Amino acid sequence: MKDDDLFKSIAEAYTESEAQNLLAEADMLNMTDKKDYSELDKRIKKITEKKNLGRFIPYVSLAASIIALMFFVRMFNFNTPKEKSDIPSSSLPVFEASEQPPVDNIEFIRAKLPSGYMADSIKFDVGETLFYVKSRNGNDIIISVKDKNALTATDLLEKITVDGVTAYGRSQSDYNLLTFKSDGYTFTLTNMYAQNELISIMKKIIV
Amino acid sequence: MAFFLSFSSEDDKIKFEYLYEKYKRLLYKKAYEIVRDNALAEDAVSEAYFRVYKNLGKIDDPASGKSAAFLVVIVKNAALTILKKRKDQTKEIDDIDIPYNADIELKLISKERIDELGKLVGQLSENLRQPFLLSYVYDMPYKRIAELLNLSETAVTVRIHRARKKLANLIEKEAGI
Repeated sequence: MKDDDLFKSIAEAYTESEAQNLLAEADMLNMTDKKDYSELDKRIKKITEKKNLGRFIPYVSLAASIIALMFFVRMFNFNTPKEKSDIPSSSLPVFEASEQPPVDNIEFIRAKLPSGYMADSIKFDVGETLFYVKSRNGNDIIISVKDKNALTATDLLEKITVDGVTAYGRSQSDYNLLTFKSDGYTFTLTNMYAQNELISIMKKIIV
Repeated sequence: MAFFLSFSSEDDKIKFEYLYEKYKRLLYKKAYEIVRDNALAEDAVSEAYFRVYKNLGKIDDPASGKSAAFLVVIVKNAALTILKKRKDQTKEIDDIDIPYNADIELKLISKERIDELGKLVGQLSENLRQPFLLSYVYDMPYKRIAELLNLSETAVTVRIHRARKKLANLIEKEAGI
């Protein structure tokens, strides 16, 4: 028997013996331990949520990049005389967002969410308010709210109509985006997996 | 406790919830035994579950004793790390130099004695035992162990080497080789 094999055997023998004791100890503690773990529960939830938001933010950045790219594509088209006449004036990009976030209260979005969705944090950016929302299924959704006159370029997005309201969407394997105007604001919804979820939220927002 | 998370899969989410609910009390107890402070023990458990969250792939069967042992290794490391920072220890337990007979005839030990010799692992300090078990039981590469235990890869290499040396000496002494 080689040294490594021996050490492995010894280590596994130790772990096997310890494991049985640990399982018994865990079961006993689960039945008898009366300590309140609510604070720890909250901390674990917070840690993992933070981790997940960190994983999700790149997708928001990606969505923002797409919008920015569309904006510049539009600007380029706008400044090209040959193509200028092809673009209806009504669809030209408009970027007049103020420096102030349009909304400063999380209740704004909570009142607009369907049941089963929970807005748990709010973040402010230049001319933009971001709401972090979680569905009952644990999916992350980020809702951006801007002024109604904010960026409207939609070249790379698919036009759809939801309950009579025009929206523009994009669905990829790892993110979905849906943007529309309602109630004086431009809403942009993003998530990773379920586009239907975004449409459900939009339906509630435009009511 | 409901986790409003988006794990890479539903299985991972269920796995994490199970690991948390089943072992949180055990992990708290193990951490408390080291740090002797409620808040610090909870710090250690939080840190441990954060590391577990990042290493869910290493856990095949959450209900197995092997998984429980894996979590305990992690929480003890987290607790020791916290304790070390608090006490600003200048010398680690495993810094003690251990004489080693490199020519030990380990291959002569019979398999029947292995269970008995396994108990010798319990004589290693936690700092040596943790990387040793992660390497030999969980087959983790040194780099991964370093990430999991918040150590440098060099420190992991040194600790595993020391664990082997100490075990070899213990085997020689106890098994009468």
